[in-house]
Amino acid sequence: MSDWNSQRVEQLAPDPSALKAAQGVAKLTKWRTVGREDQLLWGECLGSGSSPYQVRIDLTDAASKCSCPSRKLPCKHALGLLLLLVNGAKIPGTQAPAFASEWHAARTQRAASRAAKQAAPETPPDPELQARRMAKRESRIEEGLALLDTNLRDLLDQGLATVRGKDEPFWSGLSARLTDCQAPGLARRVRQLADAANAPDWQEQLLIGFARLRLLIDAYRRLPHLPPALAAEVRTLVGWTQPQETLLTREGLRGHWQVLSCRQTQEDHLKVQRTWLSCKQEWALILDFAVGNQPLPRSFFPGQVLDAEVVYFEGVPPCRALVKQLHASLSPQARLPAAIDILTAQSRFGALLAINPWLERIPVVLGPVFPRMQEGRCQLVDAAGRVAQTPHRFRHGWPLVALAQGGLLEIFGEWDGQSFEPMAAAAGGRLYNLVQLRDMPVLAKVA
Amino acid sequence: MSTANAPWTQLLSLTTLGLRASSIPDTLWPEGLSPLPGPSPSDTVLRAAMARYLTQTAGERAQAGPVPEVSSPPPPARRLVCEAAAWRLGQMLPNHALLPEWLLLAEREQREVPIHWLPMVLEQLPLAQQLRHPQVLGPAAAWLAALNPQWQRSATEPSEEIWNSGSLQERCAEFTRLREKDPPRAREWLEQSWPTETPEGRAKLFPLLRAHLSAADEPFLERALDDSRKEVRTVAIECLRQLPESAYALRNQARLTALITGEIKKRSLTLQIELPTQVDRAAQRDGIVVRRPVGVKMGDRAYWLSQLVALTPPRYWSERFQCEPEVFLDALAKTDHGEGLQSSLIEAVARHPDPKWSRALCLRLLEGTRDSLWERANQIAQLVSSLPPEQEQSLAVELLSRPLDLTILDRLLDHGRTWSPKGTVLAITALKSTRQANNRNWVSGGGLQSFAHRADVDAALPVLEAALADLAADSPQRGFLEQLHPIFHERALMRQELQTDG
Repeated sequence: MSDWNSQRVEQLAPDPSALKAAQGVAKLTKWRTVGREDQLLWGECLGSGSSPYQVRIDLTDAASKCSCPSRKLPCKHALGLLLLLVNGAKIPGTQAPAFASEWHAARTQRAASRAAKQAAPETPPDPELQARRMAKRESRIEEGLALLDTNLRDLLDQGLATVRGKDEPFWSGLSARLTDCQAPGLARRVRQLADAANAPDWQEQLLIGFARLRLLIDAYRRLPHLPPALAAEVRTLVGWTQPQETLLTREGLRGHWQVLSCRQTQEDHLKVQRTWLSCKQEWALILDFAVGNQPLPRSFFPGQVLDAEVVYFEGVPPCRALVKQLHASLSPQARLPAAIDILTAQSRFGALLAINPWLERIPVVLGPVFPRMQEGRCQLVDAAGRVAQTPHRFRHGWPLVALAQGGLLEIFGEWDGQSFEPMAAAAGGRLYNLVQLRDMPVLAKVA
Repeated sequence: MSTANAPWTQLLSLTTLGLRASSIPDTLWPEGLSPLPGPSPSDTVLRAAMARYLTQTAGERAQAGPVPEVSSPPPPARRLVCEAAAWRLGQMLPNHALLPEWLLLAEREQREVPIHWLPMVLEQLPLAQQLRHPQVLGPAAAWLAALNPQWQRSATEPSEEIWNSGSLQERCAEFTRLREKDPPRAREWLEQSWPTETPEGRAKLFPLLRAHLSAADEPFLERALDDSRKEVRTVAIECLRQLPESAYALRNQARLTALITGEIKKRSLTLQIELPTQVDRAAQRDGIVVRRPVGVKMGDRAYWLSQLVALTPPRYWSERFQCEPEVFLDALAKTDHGEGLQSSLIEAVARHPDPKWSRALCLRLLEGTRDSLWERANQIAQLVSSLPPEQEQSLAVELLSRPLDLTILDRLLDHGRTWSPKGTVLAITALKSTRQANNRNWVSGGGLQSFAHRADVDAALPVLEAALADLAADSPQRGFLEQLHPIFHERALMRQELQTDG
């Protein structure tokens, strides 16, 4: 299938040694049987065990299961089978054998039963116990806020220049204490401040970071006075999570959601995957997490279109979402949603800042713009000659210039009020994803 | 945030240095917002900063400006490689062993790299390869390179100015470039500047003449034999040895004529060898070494003779005695010094390849038992690989049709530069059916790799797969063949990708 290519398989690999091992397995001589039925791919791999290992893969969202004893997911057998598919080996389209169809059926049933269970009324937890727990947490958070109060005052008195010189144990210590106070959102902000101290524009970054923190603390203390949607946002920012089970009981937005980008970053031992979806004028951000060597639950690729029902977390504006039900994966779409110019992006960001002052970035399709390199940095110029900067760390400038061929592009990315970070680009009726190949910035055609 | 913004800059400097004042000026608050002091000065400052940041960011609008004019690149001249092939190219940059083959195949299939991959190629592909395969990069490469100063390819003429006035390193670079383009003119440059060159300059520039050597360089090389720098003399000798028609060669041959004589009686040749009594000045000037190095197992005089023989193209013997190589070799073997001289002959043939002589020597080496297997194997491989491609292949095929020791097979695999389908099949069959694998008689991983990278893929894969199906699981032969398989498989895949449309 044209959706799958070697680049996607490489991104799935938990580490390079797994990929190497997979290449060794990616030969038809090692497989007793292989087959495919629609989006279900399976095979029996001859391994070192007595009986062959049974591998099953769901091509829609890259979920896999193998009977080998390896703890890595996806294991080398699953990766090898995918490599076989991608390299054009002849895989017959036959009816799925028992082990594959049972797995697929069990998965769909689990998803359905989960949805049904959410719909059914469940026994409410003991309200008194809950209330006590929440009160305890609130008081812990208040301790954390008081800690931050003192620290902020001290740091500002010392001055940002001194703050910049603070070493790693200071920041991680403060962050750890905030986590202990059950305010992980605040802890994450403190860690971001540590990173900001190393940026080229550290003064501004530190000042804005501290100012946001100050406002957040003040807002949290005045929660009852805030409008409900904003209050929910503030609580989420401080670290209260919205339980996914309750979320899944709500009515979602069903439609043809186009995946615009799917990026993975590593924060310490946590792998974070951010997927942007768009359907007509709506935007949704899916966040997936995996600790250590765990696989991410599902991965999509830009251009993929999902017939899915999506539910939003509470927030203003509603942004983070969950895929409640994935009905089908449709053929990829190479066109981006309607593009806006730089002026519109700025006024949209401004309007949203008015309702959420902590807003840091919004998804935007910018275009038609023309990329150019100025003193080693990439800029995007629109038809009126307005210029949008890209972040310092952006490296795909020359590939975008090449892609544009002197003309105009439509680019999807994140706008943060000052710079625009491109993630996917459309030109000549094709969609391109901005990725890294062995540390080099390249554009890969995806649709 | 525009730095011309005075209140914001003030806020920044206030906070950077640390708060001293207990209150901050009201002007730092955004216009239209009344000050909201907090419980402490730091709180107030942060509130003011947040308010100002919000109003500025929300209200910021980019200025309209001139729209730049940019040229468009020329459209692609050929079909594009498919995305999978371009991805593979990206993984192979900058110097994977199969990269040259990818480029050659892309050129043969008349394909071009899509423009969005060009920045990576221009950045990572060595310049020499870029210049060798310009059509694979396409006409857009020049357009893109012109936009980025880091990718400027010197398409300009080698400059005489730099030659006349640059540093030694620059002059070496210019000379190399000109020698690529126009060898005679490069030599003329050097000849003209020769009298004024410093000794160090001569030592660095002269070796660059080794590229694109031709008979026209001879007079200059001859004069260089008298130069005061040893590097220059050594290089001159080395170059002259490669020119079989030169006066240098004729001088050596004249010396030999006196020393080795022969008569033909009834179709058999008898040789008489006279060892030279001394090495005169002229011979030393021509590079004959007087002192015998340690490890050479012959007398001094025999050593001098062997040097002379090593310098002479074998054609000389065939013409002088009007005989086939085998006849001459038989006659040589019957003389007292036959063994040492045969080695010198091998050196001569490697330098001046001749298919008949190579074949005769290879066959003798195969049957010979005197030197170590390793030495004989190396000599055979050297003889085979010094021939031009077609002749190399026919000799290789002839040798591979015989049962060979594994070490000889290994050396042939390592050194072979071109492999015809027939040769490939024979080599794989030889690997499969060999029986003698042991600690001293083995095929090296390096040899197998070289073979796998250069052999004919289409011929190899079916034979290889059939052979693997036949062999038992733990035989050494299977071990050899399994090392070949992944490389052939990758090459076949590469080929397939390059034949797919982008």
